[in-house]
Amino acid sequence: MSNNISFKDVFIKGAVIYNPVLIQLVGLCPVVAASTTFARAAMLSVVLCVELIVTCTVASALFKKIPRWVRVLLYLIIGTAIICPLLWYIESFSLINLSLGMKIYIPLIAVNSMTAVHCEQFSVKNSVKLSLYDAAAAGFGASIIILIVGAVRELLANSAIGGMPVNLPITFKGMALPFGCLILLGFMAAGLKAFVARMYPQNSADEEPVVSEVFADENSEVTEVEIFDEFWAEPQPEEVPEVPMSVPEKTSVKPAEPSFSTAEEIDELLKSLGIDIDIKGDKQ
Amino acid sequence: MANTASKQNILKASQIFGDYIVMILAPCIVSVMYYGSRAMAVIAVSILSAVVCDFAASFIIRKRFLLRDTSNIFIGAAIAMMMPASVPLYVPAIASAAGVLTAKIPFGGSLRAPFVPAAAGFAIASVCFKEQVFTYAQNTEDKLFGANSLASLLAQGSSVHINKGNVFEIISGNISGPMGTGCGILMVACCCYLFVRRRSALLATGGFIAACVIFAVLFPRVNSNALTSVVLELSAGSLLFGAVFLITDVSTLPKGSVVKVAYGAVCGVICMIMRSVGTYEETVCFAALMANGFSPVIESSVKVLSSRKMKKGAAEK
Amino acid sequence: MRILTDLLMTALYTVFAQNLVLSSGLGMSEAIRVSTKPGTFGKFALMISGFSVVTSTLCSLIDSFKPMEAMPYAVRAAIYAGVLAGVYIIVAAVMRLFFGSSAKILGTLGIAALNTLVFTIPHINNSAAYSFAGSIGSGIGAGIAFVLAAALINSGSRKLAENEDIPEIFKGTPAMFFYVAMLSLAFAGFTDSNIFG
Repeated sequence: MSNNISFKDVFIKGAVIYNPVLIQLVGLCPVVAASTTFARAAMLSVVLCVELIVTCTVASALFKKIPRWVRVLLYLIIGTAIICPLLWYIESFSLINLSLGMKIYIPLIAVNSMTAVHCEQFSVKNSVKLSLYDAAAAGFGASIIILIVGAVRELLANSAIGGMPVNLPITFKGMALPFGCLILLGFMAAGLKAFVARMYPQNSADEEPVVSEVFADENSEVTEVEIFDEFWAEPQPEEVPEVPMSVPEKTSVKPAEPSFSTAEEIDELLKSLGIDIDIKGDKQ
Repeated sequence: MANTASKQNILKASQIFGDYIVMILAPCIVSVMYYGSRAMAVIAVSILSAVVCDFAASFIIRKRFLLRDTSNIFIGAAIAMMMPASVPLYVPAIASAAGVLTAKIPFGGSLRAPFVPAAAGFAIASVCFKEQVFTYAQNTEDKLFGANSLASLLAQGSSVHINKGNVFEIISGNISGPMGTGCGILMVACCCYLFVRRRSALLATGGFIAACVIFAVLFPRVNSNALTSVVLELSAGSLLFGAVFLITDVSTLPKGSVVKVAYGAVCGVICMIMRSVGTYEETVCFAALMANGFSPVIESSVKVLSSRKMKKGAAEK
Repeated sequence: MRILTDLLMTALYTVFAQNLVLSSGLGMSEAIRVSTKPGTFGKFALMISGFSVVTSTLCSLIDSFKPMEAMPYAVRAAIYAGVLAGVYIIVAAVMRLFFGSSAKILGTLGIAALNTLVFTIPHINNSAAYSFAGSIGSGIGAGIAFVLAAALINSGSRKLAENEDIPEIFKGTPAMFFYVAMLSLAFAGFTDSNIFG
């Protein structure tokens, strides 16, 4: 099954159609809180990509048999093991002049929800190669958004790009605050939605509310709420099914009701067994 | 079908906002009296920006734009009233555009907006252009406190004393400050109009003012008696304007009499706390936005409390 | 009395004046996710407060050792992560082995413990030089701030779901971004600066 999926497919879905930041709403902390300048955004993007790719690959190769409540801890440990030496190296050799904010925000990537979501929804269910594809796509998709946000915020709030002054007649101090970033993300999400509707109409969103779009599995009819439970719940032992993509499918916020056909089937089954119980509740 | 519903919504919006436009005309006239052509320019730019942004956004998202949707005029005028007359013209223009583009268009119009667009626009301007929005430099020579607004004096803890000589200046808004929100007498007149047209909305105004009065009595910011504290707090900045024009916004006002009073009271308390500990001298817009966010929570809390009370009453019987 | 005042003031500051989720953007993804489950808000408040308090207290104790003053920030961050990981694994193992907690509760525990909000609390306590009582107050405040944000987002998402007039292009995540932006803007009335600059 994995051989049928090309990197292009994974990439377009993971980075564009189901962009982690704009559509899946994961990993918002580095974007909203930290990416106030292009330089900060670039650094966060690099660290995020490296951490995501390494953690997802390791998770796919080694963590499939480990219980979930232990796995989520291992993601933190791997993330810290990657990020802290990197930060120490930068600090010790004064490669980049890091502000206190960055010294705090960079380690926060270790507990980033994007890593946990991609590892749990994809990596532990798929081959190492596919996990690598998925992590690269998600990392790239998130990085592009972080870089755009960082550049726009720096330009509008500080009249500069990458530290180089730009002559803007007006500066918007609010862009450096989280609400400015969220407004920008709102417009970007709307733009992405319009782009996807035009370029990939078969994948374009219908009209679901936001929370439903977050963590749904492909080919499943479970709701976001159920997936939320399922995501953090104990996995079924032994069987690790290979699923094609980690991308979410549009579902409703309302809890899924049993489908009519299922009730019918159970009704018929019970009748064939000689048991007369009304499953659908339409008999008196 | 959807088009018909949309048309009906626009008609309803134009009726409701028509009332608000009639009400806001009075402060607009007073501001022109106090600040002359400069006030007219600020109002015109603000309204124009709101209308143009709505038109442009409707064109981009392929939604029908109707001039009959008068909410843009109200948003523009309300933002202009809260600005100082000396503000650079790009500030009200950006504030109106921000109000329309971030709090109206994404939520499907003024009648469905979960946050008051005028409050959002002014709040964004306050954060982005703090110096321009809170500097009062137009016609300040003959004003009571010069270029200092009452809100800034209260924020600094400066002692302001009311006497027979200055009380009328204060309640008629002839002091430095936002150009159309300081006239308390006009706000009372607007309340009377609102009483005739949409009296249920005044419950929120009542709750808001009551909360502000109680707060001003309990935690005065001036070394004076309680009455002085109350008069100064109510006259400072856009507090009364917010109570009449922002808190009563049709799309954000919760349903039910008790809920409306509670909503107004919560907004009043937040506004006064922000005045005391916050960064800005003008906080009614931030408080309105926060109360909008809390509105469903207040609604459900009041419902739960009243149902419990009813159950208790029934059990006692 | 002073300890209690210190604790209360820090908690109130963390909830309102510098709401860590809405004013600072910490733990925002988790708050949006948790907002779909209003029934778990109480549990979350308790767990996040608990983890924040225990982690930040332990980190404050570690910070009080002399060698920590000269320690590079990377090492400090690694120590904080280690403390958080240790606290989580101990609590999860105790709940699993001694109380037979279900996978669902352990799942909630995972979100409550391993998120950017809880991980930031020791950093905030360190950079703001909070007292011991202040550290506890900020931990408790973090839990309340998280649940407050989740409750506000929950009511917002329900409002947005009922709103049929939202233009097609803004339906879903764009409208949610704008809603959360307005909530964040409202909290900006208390403070107009980023928590770490």
